[in-house]
Amino acid sequence: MFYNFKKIAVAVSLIVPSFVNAQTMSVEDRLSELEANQSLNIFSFGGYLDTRYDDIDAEQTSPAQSAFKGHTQHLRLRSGLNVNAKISPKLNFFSTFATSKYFNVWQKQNTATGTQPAYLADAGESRAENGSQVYLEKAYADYMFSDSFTFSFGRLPTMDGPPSHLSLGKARMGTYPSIGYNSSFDGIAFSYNKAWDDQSFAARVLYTPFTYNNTSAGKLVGTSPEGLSNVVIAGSKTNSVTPLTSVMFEYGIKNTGVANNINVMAMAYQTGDLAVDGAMFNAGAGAGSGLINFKVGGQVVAFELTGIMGSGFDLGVTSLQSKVDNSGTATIPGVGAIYGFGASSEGESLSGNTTLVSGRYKWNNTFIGGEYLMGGKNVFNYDPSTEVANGFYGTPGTGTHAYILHKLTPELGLRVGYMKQEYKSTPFSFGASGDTDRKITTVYTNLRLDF
Amino acid sequence: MKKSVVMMALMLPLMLIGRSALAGKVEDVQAAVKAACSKDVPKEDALRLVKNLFLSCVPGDKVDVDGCKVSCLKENSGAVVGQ
Repeated sequence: MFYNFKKIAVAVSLIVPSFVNAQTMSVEDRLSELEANQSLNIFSFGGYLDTRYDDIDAEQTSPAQSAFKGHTQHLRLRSGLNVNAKISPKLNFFSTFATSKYFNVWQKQNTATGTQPAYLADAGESRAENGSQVYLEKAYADYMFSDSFTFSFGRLPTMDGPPSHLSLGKARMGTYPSIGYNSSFDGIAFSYNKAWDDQSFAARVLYTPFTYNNTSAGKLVGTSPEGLSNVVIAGSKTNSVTPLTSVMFEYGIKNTGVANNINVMAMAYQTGDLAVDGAMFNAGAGAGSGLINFKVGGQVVAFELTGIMGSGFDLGVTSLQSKVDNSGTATIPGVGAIYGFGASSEGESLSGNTTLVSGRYKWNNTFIGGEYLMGGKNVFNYDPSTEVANGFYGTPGTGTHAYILHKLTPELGLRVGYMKQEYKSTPFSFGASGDTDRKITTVYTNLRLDF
Repeated sequence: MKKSVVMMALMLPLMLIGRSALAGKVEDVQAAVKAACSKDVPKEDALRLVKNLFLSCVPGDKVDVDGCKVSCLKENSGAVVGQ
């Protein structure tokens, strides 16, 4: 009996290895194939779909000559597709192709004299031979030339910075504190990153120049090529390239007794002379003349604490100090002389300060949050990429925002919010600033999918 | 002795086939749970946690793993220049 068992055992031990070998080779081959395919797949995809309804009431009685009272509703859609590529261990590419629009635009008013408005053109616009353009929200590459140093170039992630991610229940979405400036800028950046234990430090320098050429094609072609000289406005030469340089330092620490994450950011930026041609203005009495140059500089300090004392409470405080230096004069028929941003005389420099406090509490899948804005007079807040329709973050006065966000799934969030703005001075734009009593109240709901 | 040899021979294919295609991510989850909670998670449980810790969480947040808080392992790439 034992002898028989021994024979069976020997037989099995001889047969099984050959069977096993065939199987394991097959599995190993399949694993190798899987790994090979994985190594060839450098792309990853993601994106967002954001729909939003705003119900806005606005009223102003002072100054009396521009008094108004009105109500409007905005139904908007934004969508973006992220395409990222891990090209090599040292080279990464990130991009977002995005669109933003109002819902089913019924009438699109043509501005040219004598042309008729277009009705519901929006409904067939994707197949209406409108051109081949797509909009680039972001398209840049990171080249890591050492463990700590990175060179970046392209359309950089300079929009949607902190604390705008807090009210969306998301992780950080952009580089700069959003009230510094919130827009896509093209250029180059050098970054230094250092992490040790639970701490991290980053230093960044970004150069994102503005360009101004007198040829729309930007090509030196033809018998009389354009673009050979800098632009001349009102007898003054204006540089084809005007610098915008930003410097940023950031320190972060995790897992402290105060908060799960503490982040401190300091950032400063400065532009060169930005030219505004008086001939571009027409108040209905003919084109203007003259030239205004202005420089903008700003400093932002931001703190962000998440998971305070291990709780679900997060807090962000951001403060912006800006300064605009104006020079030159433009004269507009029917309006008179203007001297630049907020200026009431030629060569005036204006400074202002805005502080934004953001807080939220996370309870299971629900966030309850609020923001309070103390917006000063003459603050240069460049915010073209904002999600709000009411210019909340540039309010020269006070702003209050309360919201509740519920994550239906980790990717899908439904948010309802209320905003109230009380202006103390007129919006900071071309022409002298003055006092106002403008009040804007907004109720909104927003359904956002991130994937 | 002889019986155990036979059993090992029979188990060999199962041991080889048992290699996970998610090797690496599973180990990362095991390491994260070990670091945060000082406990060992079996591979099967770690495999189930991969989605929670790498996909559905918010970078920077903590994820609840059986009453213990583990940092989200999802990357937040493409949000900050140079990172």
